[in-house]
Amino acid sequence: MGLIDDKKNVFTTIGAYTSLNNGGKLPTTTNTFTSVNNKNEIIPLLLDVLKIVVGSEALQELTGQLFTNLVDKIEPDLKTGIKKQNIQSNSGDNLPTWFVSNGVSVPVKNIDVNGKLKTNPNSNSGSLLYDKSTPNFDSTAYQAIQNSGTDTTFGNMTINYNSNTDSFIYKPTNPNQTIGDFTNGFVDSITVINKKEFMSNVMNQFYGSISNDQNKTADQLAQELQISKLIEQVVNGDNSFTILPSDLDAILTKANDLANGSVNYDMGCGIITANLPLSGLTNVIASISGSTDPTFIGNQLNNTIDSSSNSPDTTTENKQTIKDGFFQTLINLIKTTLAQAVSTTPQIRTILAIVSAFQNNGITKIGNPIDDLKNFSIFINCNVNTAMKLINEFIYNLIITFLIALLQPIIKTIVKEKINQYINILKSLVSI
Amino acid sequence: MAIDFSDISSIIGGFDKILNLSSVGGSPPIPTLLILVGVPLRSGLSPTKIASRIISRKSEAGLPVGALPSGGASPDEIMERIRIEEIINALQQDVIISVAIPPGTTITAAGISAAGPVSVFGSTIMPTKGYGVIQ
Repeated sequence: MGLIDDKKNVFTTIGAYTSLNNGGKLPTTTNTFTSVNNKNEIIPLLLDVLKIVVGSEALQELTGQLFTNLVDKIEPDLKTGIKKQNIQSNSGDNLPTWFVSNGVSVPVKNIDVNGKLKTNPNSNSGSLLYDKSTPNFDSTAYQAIQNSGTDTTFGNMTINYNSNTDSFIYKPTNPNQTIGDFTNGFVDSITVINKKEFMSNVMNQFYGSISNDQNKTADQLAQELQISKLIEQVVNGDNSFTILPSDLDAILTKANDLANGSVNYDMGCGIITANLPLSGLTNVIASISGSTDPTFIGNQLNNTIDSSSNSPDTTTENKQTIKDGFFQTLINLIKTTLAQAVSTTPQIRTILAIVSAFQNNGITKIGNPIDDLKNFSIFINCNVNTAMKLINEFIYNLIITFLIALLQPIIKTIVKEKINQYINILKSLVSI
Repeated sequence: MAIDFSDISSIIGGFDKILNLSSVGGSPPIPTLLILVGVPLRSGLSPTKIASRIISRKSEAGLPVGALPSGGASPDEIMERIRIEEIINALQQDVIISVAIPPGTTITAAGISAAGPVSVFGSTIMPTKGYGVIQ
């Protein structure tokens, strides 16, 4: 290289470095996937991954899968988690005398957080809230209220309703057992997730069809939504048990909507109004609650958004956005309803009341449900975490199935590439 | 390691493990004797050959090959040659090749001691290092 080239090289090299220095900075990108901005929320991340692997239509399939393959199979794991939380230092002790003779007395309002036991199982709403096909705790508790002063047996205990104090009195049917055997026996006798009730609760949280039929006031619904919000925060790793004022405003607005039976949702392309009368919800639940086919359930739910929403925008693209928003909201409600099933249902509140009484000489420590979320935060956290691990694992495994299908052709290409590279290296070494 | 489904980092790690495909496509080792015999027969890297191969394959990407309609050389093809030259120059002049030779290489050595000539048969017991260049 001559002197001229050497000089040119100095200038061009400096010019290249200057160019890289000025233009080499990558622009700041914005995240189209909202889960990237959420610090610890797992399910939004999983849903975004699912959407990128399969497409947004996978949300409908996933909703069907959660209502079948998840709900049908997680019962044993949920029970194991609840039993673990009830193991105390006194689990090996015999049942206390006061429990055998007097029982544990708990006000109904402290057990029945959402006022379910006020609804007749034979009413229109009750037929959705109670699964009458199998014996269950809630139906038995309702019967106890109807037969005040009479023992009604459920599993290994009797429930007696005292109308003067509006309280349940729980007593063991077998006095000769340990505390651990009693609590485990009770957990064995309950159904943590009843498919029909679970589906009804999820759909009711979206449409408010049952709440509207029960004539619940906006105040009652606001209290229920506050509990849901606090549990949702626990699910997302926020254990502050405090609701932000902005969230509280949204809760009050939704409570009013639910009380009116017409709920507004932002589905990503404007606000839509969703309204499904109780008869419509009854038909949907009747068609899907007995099904084990995720695709069928997904399709049936898909049909409800068409018939129940009032959207002025009917372009194909926006209809798809509305459906994606609908299923994403349903999946979040499934998550929250699952968390509630292991933390605030009457049967869980009952076991919490009895176990706390075992630790406090017969006096239960449960009270206001919202306060209890904080007072029993370890119990709530552990049960909710168990449930969330199961749903996270379920969605993760589903994604992996799709991901493997996506990667298989790529893996084959890489393997083929490597084989060809190896053969070519060998050929080059023997000069063929 | 098992995934902790309550920990977002563990879940992301699970995805990473699958997505990086690190276990896919591991090549079998090339026989040592073949390397010893075959490598000296290679012609070595040529920027001209590489650039011409790339340019000849432009049509596979739907791009025209050859001079511009005006008759001038295609700046894209000139740039291709410059790019390859610079890459090859960097590989040949700046690359550091470190070779780690594991212990266990069989050795046969001859020497002398007070008792007379000795032969030693054995193997290396320490890893050793070597350097190389790209040609």
